[in-house]
Amino acid sequence: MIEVENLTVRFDDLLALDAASLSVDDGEFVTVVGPSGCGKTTLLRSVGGLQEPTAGQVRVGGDPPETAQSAGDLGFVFQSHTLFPWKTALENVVFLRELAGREPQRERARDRLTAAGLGDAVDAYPRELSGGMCQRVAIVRAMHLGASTLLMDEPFGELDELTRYDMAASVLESWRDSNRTVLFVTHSVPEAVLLGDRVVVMADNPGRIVDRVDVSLPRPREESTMDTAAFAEQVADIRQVLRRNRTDDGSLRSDR
Amino acid sequence: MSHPRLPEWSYPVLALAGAVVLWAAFVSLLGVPPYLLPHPIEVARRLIGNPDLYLDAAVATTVKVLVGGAVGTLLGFMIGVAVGEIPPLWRAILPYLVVARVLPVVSLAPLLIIYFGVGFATGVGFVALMALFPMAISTAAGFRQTPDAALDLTRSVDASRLRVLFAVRLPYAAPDVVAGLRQSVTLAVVGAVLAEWFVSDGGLGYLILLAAESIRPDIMLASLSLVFVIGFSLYGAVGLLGARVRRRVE
Repeated sequence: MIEVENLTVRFDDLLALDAASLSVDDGEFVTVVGPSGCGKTTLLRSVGGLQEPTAGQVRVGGDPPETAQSAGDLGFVFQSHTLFPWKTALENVVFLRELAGREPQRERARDRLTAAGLGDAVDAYPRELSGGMCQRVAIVRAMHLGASTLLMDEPFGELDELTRYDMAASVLESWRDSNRTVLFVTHSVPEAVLLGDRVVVMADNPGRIVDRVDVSLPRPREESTMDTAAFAEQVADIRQVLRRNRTDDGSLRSDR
Repeated sequence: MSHPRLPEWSYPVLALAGAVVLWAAFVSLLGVPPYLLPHPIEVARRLIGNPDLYLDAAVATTVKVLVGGAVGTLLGFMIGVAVGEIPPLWRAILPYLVVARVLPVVSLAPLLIIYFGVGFATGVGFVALMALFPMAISTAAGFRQTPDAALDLTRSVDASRLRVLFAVRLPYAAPDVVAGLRQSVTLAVVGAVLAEWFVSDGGLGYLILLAAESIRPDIMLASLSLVFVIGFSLYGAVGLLGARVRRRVE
């Protein structure tokens, strides 16, 4: 369970996040969508305890994020895969558990990689893998940590269109079996709709939450779900909210 | 037009051979007197003619390089880690570390002689001082190589600082540490020869000094060629290490 109350983050003169409130239930998959600079990454980093709020508070499972960090209860997936280049896929997956002070569970990790279609990549180094495969390993690593909360910051942002939705489908699959709470940040509306139980819509200048949209599409969802009329309708609704709140004045803004 | 590619090491070897041939031709054709520049064969004859003298001197110099280099690089590494790991320390002493590099370390030699006397310790201390700075600076710089996202990842699981230091930051710093080592090793050789000039306790540097006093460029060049061999071997060894390290972190 994630609770965010009146979270405000200010970087010098920039109001990155203005009094954002949000609640994610256990086992819920919530996506956050918005333009660059709307504070969605700041929101995610605050939930993960990587960003100190200026005001307001964050609770993960009833505790401050730092407690969740120490308990190994936060699984991060970043936009870049952040695999260590001197470790194989398998070593990378178990390494995060070791850093968290847990049993590495190598065999389990091997099984997870195989289940994610990375059976041949288990002993490969990141430089030998494609960007998509590296990100898959990073996702398996977050799963293997055993955290009940997954925080994903545009994990498919650097991947091509086809790989993105393929990855999204596999994230959905592993989420279904695991009952994890997921907060997933993206700037792609279709991705947000495909993945989320709820879509949190954000706007910029200042960064804030402008709407929360329940996604009524039935689960399980697959890539083909994106071809349905209901999906298109849901995407159109959210695009409209985004357009209404657009303050695109052409000025430069930081992405956080 | 395609050339059969020669192995990488053959280029410097060919260059060296070419230089020696040019040297020989220069001396023979122009009839340069041997007290100015002896023929390379004369130099080789010195080495073969009195192998014990040169071997003993080379061993003495190598020992200084290795002991002093080990002390200096180790101290430099530790300073680098401390500076890299503690940001206020980075800000406080990095400027001095950088400036200390342009400071001629030779100017500290008289001080070392006062502290350690005229002997092995002074030589080692001087070599260590030469080797210390590049190692410290490179190591400290290497600590900037860990990507922020990797540090975020370690924070997200509240990994212990010591664990992050050894398992994440040092591996990312490794290529810079090796780069520092490469500079330190070269300077350690320079340092050893210099130390032998002012400590005068033996070694190739001392031999060069003696040869200079009796105007024997053949002995000087014979000694110098061995200094070159020592420096080149160490540099090559570190280079091999560096290639391995870079392969891992790329």
